[in-house]
Amino acid sequence: MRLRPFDRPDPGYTTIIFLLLGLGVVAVYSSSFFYASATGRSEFYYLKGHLLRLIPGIILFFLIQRIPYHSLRQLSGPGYIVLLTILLFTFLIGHRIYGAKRWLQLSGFSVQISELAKLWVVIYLASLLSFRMELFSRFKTMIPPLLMLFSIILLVLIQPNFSMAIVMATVALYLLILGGVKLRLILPIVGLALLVIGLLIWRFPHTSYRLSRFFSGSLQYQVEQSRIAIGSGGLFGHGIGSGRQKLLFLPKPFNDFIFAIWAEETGFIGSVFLFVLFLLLFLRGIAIASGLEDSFGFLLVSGMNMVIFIYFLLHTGIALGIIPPAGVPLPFISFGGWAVIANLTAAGIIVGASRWRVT
Amino acid sequence: MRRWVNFLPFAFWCYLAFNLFNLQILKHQSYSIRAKNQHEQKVRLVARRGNIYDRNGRPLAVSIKAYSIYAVTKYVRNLNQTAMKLAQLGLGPYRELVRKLKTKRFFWVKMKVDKELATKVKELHLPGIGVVDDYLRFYPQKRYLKDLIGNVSSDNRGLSGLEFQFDSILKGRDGFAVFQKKPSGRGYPYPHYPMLEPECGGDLYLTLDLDLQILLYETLSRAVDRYRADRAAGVIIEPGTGKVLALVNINGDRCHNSVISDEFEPGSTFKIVTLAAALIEGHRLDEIVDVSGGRLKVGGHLIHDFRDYGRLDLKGVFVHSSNVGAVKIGRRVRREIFFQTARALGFGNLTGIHLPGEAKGKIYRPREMKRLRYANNCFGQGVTVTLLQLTNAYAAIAASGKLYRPYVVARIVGGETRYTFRPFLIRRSLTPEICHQISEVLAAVVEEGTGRRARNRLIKICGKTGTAQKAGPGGYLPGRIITTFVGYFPKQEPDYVIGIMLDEPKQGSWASQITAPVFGEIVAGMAKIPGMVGDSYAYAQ
Repeated sequence: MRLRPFDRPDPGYTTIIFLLLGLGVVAVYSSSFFYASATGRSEFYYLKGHLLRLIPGIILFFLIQRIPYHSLRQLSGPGYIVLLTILLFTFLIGHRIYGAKRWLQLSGFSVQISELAKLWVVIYLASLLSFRMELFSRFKTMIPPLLMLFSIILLVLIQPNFSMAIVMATVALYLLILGGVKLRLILPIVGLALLVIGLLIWRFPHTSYRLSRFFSGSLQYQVEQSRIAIGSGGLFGHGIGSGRQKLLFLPKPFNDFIFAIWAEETGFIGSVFLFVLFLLLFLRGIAIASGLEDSFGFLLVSGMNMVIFIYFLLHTGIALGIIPPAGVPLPFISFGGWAVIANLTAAGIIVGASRWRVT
Repeated sequence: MRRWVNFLPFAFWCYLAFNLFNLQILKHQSYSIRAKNQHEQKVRLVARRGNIYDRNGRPLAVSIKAYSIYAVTKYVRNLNQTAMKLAQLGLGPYRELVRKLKTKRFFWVKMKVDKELATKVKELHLPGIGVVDDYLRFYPQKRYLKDLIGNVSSDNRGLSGLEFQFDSILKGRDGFAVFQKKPSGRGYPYPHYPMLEPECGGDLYLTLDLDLQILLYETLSRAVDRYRADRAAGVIIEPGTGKVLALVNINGDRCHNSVISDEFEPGSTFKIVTLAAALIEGHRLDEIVDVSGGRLKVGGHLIHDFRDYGRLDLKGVFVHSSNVGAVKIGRRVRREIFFQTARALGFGNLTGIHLPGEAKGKIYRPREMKRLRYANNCFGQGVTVTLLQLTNAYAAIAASGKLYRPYVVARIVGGETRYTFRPFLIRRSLTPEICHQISEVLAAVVEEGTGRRARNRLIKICGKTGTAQKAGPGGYLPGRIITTFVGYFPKQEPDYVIGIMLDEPKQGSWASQITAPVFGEIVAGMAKIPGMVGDSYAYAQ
């Protein structure tokens, strides 16, 4: 039997996505033109790159809406095998860029595989929590599925992609709580996970260095520069294009610190606008999730929604100097390779699911 | 389903929003300053200091474009190499440069170098080493004018003389440009930053005549050698306006304007006060004064003349510069009138010339003048004057009693101000009749008295010699004298008043032998300058 959707795709959610994408194009150009020309490229270099990645992302965003979300459940098993294979493969023979084995060369194209892993975590947990809930009633039966999840997070962590592992773990925790797993079962797992993470931080010098610098109060140069950018913006900002912190003071101003540039150029007004847009996006996502009658849909949409929102929280938290610095892009705004595509996929899944609302 | 878990990210959102508010609104000021400090570099654009010209437009002080090289050691990368390269260009010894680069945060490697060297330094592209525009102050006539014009500091601020007095006009207004800084500290121009063009300082045109200045300087400097004097000073003033045409100090290398700053006892040149007071009191020039014996005892002190003149008339007392006679005439004059006359001629007061460091001199009030002091004052001992005061008093007599404030700056041109200084009449000190009579006496001094050696074949000169004993701690110093000569010419409608002073000449002991011939030399020299002394001055007329 072929399923038919009951409703139109949610117009509010799509509108916010495209508003953010529009702001992103402006922000990427504004924050990158100087960097590009200072590094001997055309001032439109990063703008072009960004637009080039947006096109497949937007196409994917619309295509994925056509797929009934129910069928995504089937990706959880094969997805695990594919991810495990690729992650192990990169771990064993991956080549080094940025001192991390984060990239895999695939037919001349760099794929950031962990971007797909975060989507898989949502699909995997949503399907487990809705169809195999009985596994999560006892500690013993909970272990095998969680070990599968852990193996993926661990492989991402030792890439090392610390920030992505944190995102995945947080989203997983969120889904476990949301899915109704008893808190007395979750807490030991969280404790165990923290222990493992602590061990790994201790093992990986560059992460522990960053953390120790952050907690010792001597903020890193880039965080300090980011705070200067945001603080000097004031109420109205310097105006789009005329920020000065991007003039080589902030590293990768069009990516990891794009919010700082945005805050400097548009001031408190512009920053709050962005804050409100993301909050509305998050609330809209929750509303869509609540409108679905099946628990898989609810958890899937909630998880995808959380994936997007947690990136926003991490990115701005780092820019404001609350969270230790790590390379986290701002969804839909930052210049970024596969992050753009992964985020648009997540958004596409949410909008697609909105067609199946009962209310 | 536990929906409450959605509240956690929302709470974190609120926390972030509060932080954003804190940073962008509450702490905006401090972060704004920090941003400005690391983004902007304010560079001073130095204003060109105004030039100084003589009355004919000949340059006396000019600003020349130059460059200054500085080092900000924070940004210097390779210390030894930087020092080596700078040393190779001759910008200082290598070791010294290394020491400075190590110990200082900022220093001037070398100031005011020429364009060629500045370009070489720029082309090295050494991080931390920069070149800024600057101006070099150049004095084409420094030898003749150093103490009048004064000098400037390395940042072109006036330190002394006219440079100091007129600094606010000469300095102009510095501008600035703001540069965007790179994280490496180097600046580059950013289109939207504010900029203020510098404004050049105003030029000064002096009343001074360079030809006269050189003549006076050369003559006095020869005289210092000839008479082995410690130092000399001279000033030429135009009577009837107070324009200072020349002002010379021979002080060795010292930059000190003794014409206006040094007080000394004038001696006989001061006797014009006695003479003027006597004439005011109604005494006549042919009144007889008995000076026989050439000595006079006052309060236990002996006053004596050059020789015994017997009986002289009042005119003769001044022609032969008899001290005894001056004291005796003084006794016929009320002390109040004597004091008032001295005051009227400007003694004991600042002349008000626009130059720093003018001295006032000292004269005594009638109450303060005891018998001996008054007797001394009558022939110019016990009072102190500056050469400018003395010369200006003679200028008042030459201008029929009109005492003008002497001035050196005629015009200010350019800059924000455009101003012409006009002669400033202080007071009418004496009546024209008395001035005429004094002129007669002073003319006779040069014709037949102590000033004979100042005579000129063509020009009729009025003048007076002065030989004063120098006072030291515990009384007058034997053998140490100050010789002066103040005179004006031509007798009818004088154009120039010249005052000269030689301090402690070792050759000769009287002004009649020392300063009078020097004065004569100056007048002769002026006659040779075309247009300076006209045909109408001819003696025959």
